[in-house]
Amino acid sequence: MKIHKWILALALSINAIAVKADNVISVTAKKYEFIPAEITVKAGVPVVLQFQTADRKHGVSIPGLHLRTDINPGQPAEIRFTPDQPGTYDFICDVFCGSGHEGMTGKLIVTK
Amino acid sequence: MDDQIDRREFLKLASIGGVVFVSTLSNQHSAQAFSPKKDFFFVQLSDTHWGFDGKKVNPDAKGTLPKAIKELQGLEQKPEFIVFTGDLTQISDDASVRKQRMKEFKDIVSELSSFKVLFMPGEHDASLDNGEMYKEFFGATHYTWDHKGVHFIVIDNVSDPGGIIGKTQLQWLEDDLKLQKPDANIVVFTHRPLFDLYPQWDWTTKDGDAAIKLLMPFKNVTVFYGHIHQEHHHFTGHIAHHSAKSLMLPMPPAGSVPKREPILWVANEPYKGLGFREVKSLTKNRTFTIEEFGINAGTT
Repeated sequence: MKIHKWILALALSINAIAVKADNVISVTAKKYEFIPAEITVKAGVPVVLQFQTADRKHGVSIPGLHLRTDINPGQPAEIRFTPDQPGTYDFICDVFCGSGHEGMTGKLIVTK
Repeated sequence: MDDQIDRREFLKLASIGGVVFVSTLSNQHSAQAFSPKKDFFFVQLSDTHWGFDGKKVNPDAKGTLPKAIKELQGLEQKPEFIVFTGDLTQISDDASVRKQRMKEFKDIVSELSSFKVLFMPGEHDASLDNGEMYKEFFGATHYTWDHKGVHFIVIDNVSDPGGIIGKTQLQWLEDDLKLQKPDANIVVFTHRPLFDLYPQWDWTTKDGDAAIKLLMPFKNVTVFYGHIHQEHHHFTGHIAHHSAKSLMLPMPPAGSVPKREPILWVANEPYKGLGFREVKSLTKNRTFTIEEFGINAGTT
């Protein structure tokens, strides 16, 4: 009986990891772009945006959702959230990174 | 002082939309006589972006700043000082190009040697090396001085590439303000807006609210800034914030277009959206009068 419970718990954990992994979106920041620059997520579904930089320090800010993080070399950064309002939210690099900094932008699209 | 009265008066005056704009820090109008002993005026220039190259935006990129300088040299009455509120130069990823641009800018503004000229950095000048090269050319990035009853404070919100003032400078600001009386007449110069004007275009200072909180106990505070390349007038409580036009490239109003891109040059309206301003300080009544000037295409 105990073994069955343990197997069930293990199965649920694996399932949870799989669900989590599905909602992790990897984003690379580099001078002067985000890849991908357009990210689509679903309202009501938890999501993890996982950022890494390919060159120097950057930052990402999604002002419409009051979310931001620094993106330091060698230190992947995460933003975890559950979007609730469908819409398009601009995101920008908010750590000045050079001549193309002002064009380093992207869009987060939250669908129903 | 009633903040609501101030705001209504401010909006009424702003709605005039003409050349002369009056920002009053009290509920008295500014139509008083100019008293040279106590009153004075200064000139604010901003966002000269020396080194910018974009013919569709400004085909006279090398001529606009010299034209403004000629106009300043021709002023009938001499301002007590001229202040450049940042982005003196256009950023380059090549440090030697940045250095050359700073040198050229400094040479050009040396034409103003008969005036007292003050500088502060913008992110284009300082954010790639924490202001080190800027300091070599122009000195400190934050400082204070007093003039005819006004306490001036320059706040640096660009040397940190994250667009912050930072704890050390905020402590410096707090220490400086401790020496001021509650009714002191305080003017702040800074590059970025201290408030969240439009964070979607990075028109903000992440810890600007901490500076505003420190300034809030003082009854007479006015902030002049740049960064957004257009006139903009805003109040946080009783504190007035006035942004200046650029002398290189005009920008559209916040969020009015999908992307933060300069307004293109209009051939039959050259230099539209570019210019500088005079600020008259009528100290006795804690009043500032702002007068905007464009660039005269005929100036050579």
